[in-house]
Amino acid sequence: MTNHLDFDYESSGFSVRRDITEAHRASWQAIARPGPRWSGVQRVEIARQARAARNSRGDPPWLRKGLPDTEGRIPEAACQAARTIAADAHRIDRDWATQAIETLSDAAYVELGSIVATVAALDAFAEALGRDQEPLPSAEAGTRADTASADGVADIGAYVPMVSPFSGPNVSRALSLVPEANRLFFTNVGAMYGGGEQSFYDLEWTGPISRPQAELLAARVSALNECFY
Amino acid sequence: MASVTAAHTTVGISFEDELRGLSDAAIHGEWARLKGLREQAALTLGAQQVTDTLVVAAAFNGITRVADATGIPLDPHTAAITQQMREQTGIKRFSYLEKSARYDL
Repeated sequence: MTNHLDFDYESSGFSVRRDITEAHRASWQAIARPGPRWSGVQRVEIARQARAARNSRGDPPWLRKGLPDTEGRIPEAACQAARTIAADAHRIDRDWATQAIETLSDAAYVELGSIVATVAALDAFAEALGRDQEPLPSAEAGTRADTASADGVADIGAYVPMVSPFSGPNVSRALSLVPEANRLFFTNVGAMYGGGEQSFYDLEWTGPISRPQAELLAARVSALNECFY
Repeated sequence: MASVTAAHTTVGISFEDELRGLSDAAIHGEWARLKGLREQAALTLGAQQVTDTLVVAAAFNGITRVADATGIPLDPHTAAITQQMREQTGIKRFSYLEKSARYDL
């Protein structure tokens, strides 16, 4: 189980808002638990592959040596999807995504993407503070029986179905095919961007930096990551 | 808006240089430079503001991956009102179609 001292930002000398720290800890616990499509062991392996690939992102894909072997914990297609989303998301196009989704299923792909994005955000924060990346959580055993995806999803022109109609920031429905995956990632985003989970959905601003400042950062990071959205 | 894609254009947001410096160094993995920028910005922007700047930048490291992995399109209203801006700032080159031509994944 996750140590209560995980994400101990204060010991590094940084004043990180409590809701952010709590969101990060909750995310780590969630990744370790069995999900709708992937077991806890598989989810942690997805996180491990994503982290390793992102840590090697400075090298082109064909030069990345030493990426960990999955030892059969997840299918090769899942491993490649995790690595690509983590390190080469800017290269993803519809053909690549379609192939990955057809192999994994759309719900499994969404759940995998949620884990990868969460790890990317938390690792990026650790790096930015000059801290070591948090040790990955210990996986919980077992699987779940409930595999239902969300109701009310539709083809909105994305690679996966999304809830439609939808109120709130458009991007916050990107993982909505699998509600739990959406919550895993956007609970963090809500805490990290805007000053509180609900503030992201309500587009309310309560953080220490101003809204224009946050939007400048968001846009700049998106441009550097070559993200069209 | 051109400042988000052009390195040396400013738009008049307070502490813009500090914010861009921090986000650029963080995304580019320039850790030694980022450490220096953190310390300098803490004196001008404030320590809590520096932390929150890095929080937002990190969050968007995740959001861009979600957007790219899911191919979520702009909602129709946003697409309509931003068309000219996207062309002027060069954001259009990040579109999924243009990436297909540029990258062989």
